[in-house]
Amino acid sequence: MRILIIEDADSIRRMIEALVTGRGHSVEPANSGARGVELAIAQAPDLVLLDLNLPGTLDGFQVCEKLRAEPNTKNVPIVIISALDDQDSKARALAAGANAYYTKPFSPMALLKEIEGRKRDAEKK
Amino acid sequence: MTAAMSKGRLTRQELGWLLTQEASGAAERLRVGVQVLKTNAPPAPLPGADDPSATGLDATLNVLDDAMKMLSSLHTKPAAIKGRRGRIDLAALIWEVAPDARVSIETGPVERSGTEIFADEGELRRMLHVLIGQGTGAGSAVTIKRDGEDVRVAVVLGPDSSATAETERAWLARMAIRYGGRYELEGGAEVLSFPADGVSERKEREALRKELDEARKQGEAYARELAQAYAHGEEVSTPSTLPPPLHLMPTAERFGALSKFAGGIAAELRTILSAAARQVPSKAGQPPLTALTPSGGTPSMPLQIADAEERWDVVRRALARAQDFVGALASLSDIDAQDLSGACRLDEVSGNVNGALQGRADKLGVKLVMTPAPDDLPPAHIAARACTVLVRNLVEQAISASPKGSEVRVSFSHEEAGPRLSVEDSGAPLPSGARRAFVALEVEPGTYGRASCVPLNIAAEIAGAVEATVELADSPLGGLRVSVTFGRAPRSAPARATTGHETSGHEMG
Repeated sequence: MRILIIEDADSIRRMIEALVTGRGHSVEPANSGARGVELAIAQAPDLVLLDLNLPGTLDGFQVCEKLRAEPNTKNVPIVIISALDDQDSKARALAAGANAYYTKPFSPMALLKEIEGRKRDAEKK
Repeated sequence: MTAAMSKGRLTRQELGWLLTQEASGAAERLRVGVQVLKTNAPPAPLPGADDPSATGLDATLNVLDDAMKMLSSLHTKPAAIKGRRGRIDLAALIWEVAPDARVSIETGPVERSGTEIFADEGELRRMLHVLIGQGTGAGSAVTIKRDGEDVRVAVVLGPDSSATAETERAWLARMAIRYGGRYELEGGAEVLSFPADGVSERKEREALRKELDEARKQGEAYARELAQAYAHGEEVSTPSTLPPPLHLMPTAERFGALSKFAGGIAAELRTILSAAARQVPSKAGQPPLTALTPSGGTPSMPLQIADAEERWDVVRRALARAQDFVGALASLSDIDAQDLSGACRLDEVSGNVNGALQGRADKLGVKLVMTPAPDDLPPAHIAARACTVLVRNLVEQAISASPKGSEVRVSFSHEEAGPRLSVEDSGAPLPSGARRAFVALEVEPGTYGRASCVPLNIAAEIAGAVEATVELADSPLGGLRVSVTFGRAPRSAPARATTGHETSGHEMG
């Protein structure tokens, strides 16, 4: 799978990269919402892993909304990985179009299972 | 012209300064001339740029004068403009830029005080000139205030006579943004706000700390999962080998592989040992002493016979130990890996095992004691056959480790997690730091005064396969206490059977 990771924290991004590339997925990193949207529209990845607290003009919620509004990315699964663990943020993210929500620190195994599940879904289609 | 001029020629900055001086002088002369033409009167004293009564041509001249003043002021301290970049106290700079201004300073509460910002002094000086020039001029009312994370400079707006006012405001706004601040009109005042010195660094530090904290927590989550994956034999991303490492296999499969391996080794060893044992004369019958004499001659000296018998004894003991070891290995292969779970009563199984090992304990002069189980001891979640092998290995190793005349004690307790079996011996103590390595077969046999670590390893493997926990501790008897806490068996567990050793302390020695 081609996975776009939109995460501003270098260390977390690298950890996720290491995790998913170890399972044979390819990764495109972005450290801001604007850059993430740009890459997503240009490349239409198979999956987006998205942080919510992002620097710059677009936060994760807005990124989510923008990706859902773009024809090229409206069906790309978006998995949120955020330190925000309140119900309101989860509800907002899902309302903005996210498919799944993981709270940091997340379980790497659970994330891998999620990705594998998304991969199987994509293969069925 | 270039910014850096060769030696002996004017620099761009010096030339600019000269030109502005020329322009300023020309404006003054123009003003005087116009005054003479208008009134035919002697020239009046030179009006200030902020003269409110000025109109028409005068106003235009005032604007020109303002512009010249501003341009001129930009060159008054070329060294400073070049550039000190760092922490600058806005209040102090205001005193320099506008010594006639009425400045009020509010430094803010102690925890967030100070009017210092991080900037280029030249640029800041220029901004203040423009700002104060926009205001009421030399006698402007300027307020410098620490407002939370910001330092604000407010100047009361003067009459908006400058033709370049809009351009200057746009420039101020742009410069303010460059420093992470803003330029605003608030009521009758213009306000420049800058982030106070240290705020951006603090925010950066906080962001970094937060990121590090998240990374640390995430790293811990990774480590936990990795540890769990190893502990439960889940798939982890290690290279595959043939046969696969045991820790990568599911519990039943792993145990099955282990028992098969142990059974195979035991069978091989048993064949070898049997052949060796056939050559050793039994103690009851006289040894074929001829076998001990290289020439086949008859030994005539009683000392030689005694010596030979002693050697045979050493061989017999070694063989017995080897056969015990093979027995322990073989016992593991008796367990059906697919049938590990079940229910049994620990006290019943232990009673049977102790009964079977009684002869051996007697032979070694070790007293085997089983304390009665509590009435509420629930059935353990393990199949009876597996439990028998586990208990047998524990008791056997305890007997072997205990010296002649000492005691081995088997006891039971009802713990929160489930029923617990404890086997204590009077052998050599096992240091707490060495226990894990001992059970994991990472030490040489005989280390710490114990003949073999294999029985404990087998017991631990069986316990691990049924998710029972094994604890090693010092025993009051002087040796080791091995406790195994099992899960509770489901409700369909067998009812308590009545056996003779349930009602009281059952001494088997």
